[in-house]
Amino acid sequence: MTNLSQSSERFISLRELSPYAQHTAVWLRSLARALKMFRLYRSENPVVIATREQIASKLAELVNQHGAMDLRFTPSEIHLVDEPVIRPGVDSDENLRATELQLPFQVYRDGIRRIVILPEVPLAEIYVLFDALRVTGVGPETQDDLVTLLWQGNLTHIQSESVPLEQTIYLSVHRGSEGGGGHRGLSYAWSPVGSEIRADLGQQLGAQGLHRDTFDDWALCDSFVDVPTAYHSMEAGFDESRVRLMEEWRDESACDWAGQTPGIVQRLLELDPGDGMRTSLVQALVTWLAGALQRCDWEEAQRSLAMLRQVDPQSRWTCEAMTAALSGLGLQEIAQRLDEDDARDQARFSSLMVAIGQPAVGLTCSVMCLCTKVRPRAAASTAICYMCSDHPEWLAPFVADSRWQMVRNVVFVLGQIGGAAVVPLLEEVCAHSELRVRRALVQALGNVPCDVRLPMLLEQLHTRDPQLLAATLNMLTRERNPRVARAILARIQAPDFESRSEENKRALFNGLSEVADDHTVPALEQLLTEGGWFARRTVARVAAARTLRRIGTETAVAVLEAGLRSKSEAVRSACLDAMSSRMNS
Amino acid sequence: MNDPDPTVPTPGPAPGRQDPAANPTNAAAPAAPSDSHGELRPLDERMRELGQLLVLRLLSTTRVGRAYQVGNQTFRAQLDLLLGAIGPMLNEFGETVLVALETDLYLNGVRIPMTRASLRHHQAALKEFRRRKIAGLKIEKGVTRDELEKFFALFLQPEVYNSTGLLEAALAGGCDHVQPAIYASTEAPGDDEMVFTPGEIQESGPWNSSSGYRSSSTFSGGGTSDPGADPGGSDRTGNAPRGAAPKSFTQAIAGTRSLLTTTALQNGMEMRHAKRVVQPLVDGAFAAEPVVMGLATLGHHDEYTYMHAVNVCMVAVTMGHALGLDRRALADLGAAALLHDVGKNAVHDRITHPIGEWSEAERAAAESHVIEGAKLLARSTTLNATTLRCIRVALEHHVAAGYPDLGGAKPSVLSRLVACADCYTSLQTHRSERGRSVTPFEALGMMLGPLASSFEPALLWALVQSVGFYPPGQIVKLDDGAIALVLAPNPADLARPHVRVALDSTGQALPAQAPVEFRPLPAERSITAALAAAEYPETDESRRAA
Repeated sequence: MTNLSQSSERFISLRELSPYAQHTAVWLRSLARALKMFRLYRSENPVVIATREQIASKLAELVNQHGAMDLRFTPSEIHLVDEPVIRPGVDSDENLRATELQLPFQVYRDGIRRIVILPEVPLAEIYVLFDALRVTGVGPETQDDLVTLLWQGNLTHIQSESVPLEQTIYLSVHRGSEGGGGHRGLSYAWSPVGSEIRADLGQQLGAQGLHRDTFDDWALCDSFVDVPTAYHSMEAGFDESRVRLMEEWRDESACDWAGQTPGIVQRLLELDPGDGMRTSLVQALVTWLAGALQRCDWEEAQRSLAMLRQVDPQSRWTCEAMTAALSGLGLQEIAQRLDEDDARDQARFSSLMVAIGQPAVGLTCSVMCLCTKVRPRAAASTAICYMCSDHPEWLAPFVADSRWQMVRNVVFVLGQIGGAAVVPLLEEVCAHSELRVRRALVQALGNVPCDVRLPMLLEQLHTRDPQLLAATLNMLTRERNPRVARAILARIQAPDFESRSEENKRALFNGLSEVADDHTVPALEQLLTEGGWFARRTVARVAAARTLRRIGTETAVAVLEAGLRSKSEAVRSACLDAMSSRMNS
Repeated sequence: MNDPDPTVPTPGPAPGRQDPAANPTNAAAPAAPSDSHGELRPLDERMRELGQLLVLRLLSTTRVGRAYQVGNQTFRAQLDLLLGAIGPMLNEFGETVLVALETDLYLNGVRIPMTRASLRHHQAALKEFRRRKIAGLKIEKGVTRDELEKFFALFLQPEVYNSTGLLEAALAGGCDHVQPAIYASTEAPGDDEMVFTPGEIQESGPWNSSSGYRSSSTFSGGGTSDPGADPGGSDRTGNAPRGAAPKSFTQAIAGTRSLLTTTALQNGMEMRHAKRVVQPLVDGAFAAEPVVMGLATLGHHDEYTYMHAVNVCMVAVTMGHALGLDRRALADLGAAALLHDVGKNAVHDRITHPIGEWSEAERAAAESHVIEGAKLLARSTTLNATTLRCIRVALEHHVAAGYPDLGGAKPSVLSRLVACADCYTSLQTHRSERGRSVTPFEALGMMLGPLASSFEPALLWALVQSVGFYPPGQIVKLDDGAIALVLAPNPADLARPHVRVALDSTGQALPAQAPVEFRPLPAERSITAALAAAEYPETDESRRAA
């Protein structure tokens, strides 16, 4: 691998690579993009099918034209023999790189260090490679790793070199002799005898290790037959039996495993209906459900959920097990897939989440946060509304989330749920540093009883963000409330009022005019007339005059009329302006 | 392996080789239940986690060591953290060996997994080792902070102390419990190479060697239709020296141990790992390797769980291959066979008598092990196609013996296959007094005779195809009166297996240095009898034992 690192330093750009390496680099990039597409869309999608064929044909063409493609992998690079074809910093297209740079790590992580694709490689084998990469690229844990999937494919033209998960390592002050028995991989290096194997196990005679197997479960027979004779006597029946057995096997393996599960679960429950068996089955079914969710197979997830309901109808164990299982899912992949899914699948997801209930709240909130398209976000928020309408407290952890987007979305959902029960949660975000969260809060408070929402709204009046202030005032002035008028007036009379923007000032006066009454007239009069002889025309003065005009009571009008007779030009002008607009209206 | 091993294997996934004669300085302690730390997870899983922590601690120690003087309080605090990280490992295994093999890091033989988050640390650790021209570090139980401090005083001067120079300086400085590992390899070097022990290093003269060590990797692919196209040059043609068990057998045992080494299995089992364990065995079946040799090599009295699991796995996989199952099915079959008896763990303490003398309660407990096994697998694995098959096998592999009652439902094909392999293997390794004298031929004779009605003819056919008429380990009498040991079956002629002659026609023992082997027995030669245990010739070993 040191050689590979050196070769990375040697090659500066793609153009300096050999023609084969350049073609390979281009092909690997298309593969990386295609893999993302394979994950996002269903395999029967015509675009997916066409892309698969195109990429596979291109690979076949490349190896037929240039010879075997010998790819070596490091955690961040792919080399064609010793030429780096994918490595950080070669390409300037960040989006492209983000996709393609995942490829070496994905392969390397599973232990593969080298893949050789030979000429004349059949398309079917290339598809096996694609499928293996697609499956192992989803989520943190998959059923099989890349090594196993490629191995199971029994590939003849795609060969992979991998490191085992564990092995005996010999330390020495000398390097081993080169070429001495120099075959790779599993080999007949030496032949252990029984005692040596026992030594390997670290056990003494009679010990049983940690896993106990201390009794025989097959009884010895009293007699035995001569093997060759018995074999020959049975020979006539072998073929027929073999054919029957293999037919049975074909039927069995053709049957979908998920379809067999209910029968087996039922059988296990019949044999042992105790709590121990039920807990175990719940654990198993929960992992099945989690796997289906990770693969975005909503139908399979529904089936597993139905099974869970049968095994644990009271949900005695399901909730805890499911919460743990769902917490390990790769959420980004699910969100990406939902973004690309059609409306029907998004609806399935939504209804599935509702059916799962509390354990799925976190997953649904994350999806709502991570999805970039409106429809899946809407589906997710609807689902959360259903799930949490009776238990808004389930959303408490997400209100305290460090991601403001998550908090904003959850606040929106709380607003949809509404009622007094959501107030404690909304109170937590009253002082959130992100304005967008507080804007969502103000909107959400619309569905909260007036008496409890008022303190939270009044708290937002200190903001200088015009949008937030406008939204808050809009919400506050829905009904005339002297308390609101006093609060707005207090903001207007505050020492920092002058430092506010004109937009802010006007908004506050407009708000005040909606809710003010005779009680506020003296304060407004003072604002109108302050400055005396030397008063100048200010936004506050004009706004105060207009507010008085909008209050329109006798007291207010009297103040304006008095203002018209003021010695100050600015006061007169403000009052005249207000009165004339009154007459016009 | 009869000669002292000149090298020092790390403990490996299993707790290491236990032959103190071979490795007087490095014989790791046997695996003990790690109750002291409440660790109930599989060994390899814990090792992976500890490995990541150790790498992190090592790097932070190195980084702090660059900024502060060795001996500074801050540096000492880092050393304490490092000691804290390796403490549990030292207590459990006696030593901690962190080595780099190409671009991978291994802790006591277990590959430390790489995540996106740990990639940077991983690469930094590799860089540190490369800079010092060493493969890694070896820390033994008894190491103190002062010793570590002395070692790091040298370790932090890579330009001055590197490669064997670092080792010499460490030894000279009295660092007996912490030393650099200069070279690491997965292959045992030849006898001419030196042992990694302080005493022997000091006697061994020059350190240099120009040759490279072998690859640690496994090259797969080159499937059944084109085995010759393997660019890695893998040699899987079955030309085993000394007619021996393949290395895959031992690897499978180590893997199985790793898989099953836990007190309760309640914290999850990686079925992916189980599949990796069986891959070499399935490859062996495809390459017509004598995989069943391991079964015979163990003799009659093997009573070890891992051995039994691996033996059943090998026999079942070979049978499955004979029947024509594909790789995917064989992988599932192998995994299921490895785990078929896990339920015994739950009931073992309720059974104290041998099978023939069971009380009703003991019988009920024994019969419940299949349900316990299914329950345990359901609880500790992720439910998918493979685990469902494993659960079925664990539940159904004793239907031929009459339990559990499936209500008329037929066991799966894999369950029946494993049942046949399990029965055959168990008969050979029976714990009863009589079981000690049952030969492989007799066990097969029971399968084809009294037990034949319990298994379908196709399964018996596959069993015979896998082990031959004279299974490996059987002592047979040849037509000229010579006595021979069956090494491996010969699928082309079941009556003429691969044999090694032990006594010639005059009854004289052949020298071990010049064995006579027939691979396979030629057409003009034949086996006239399979000897019973009482007729087995005495060997030096048995004489010594007597």
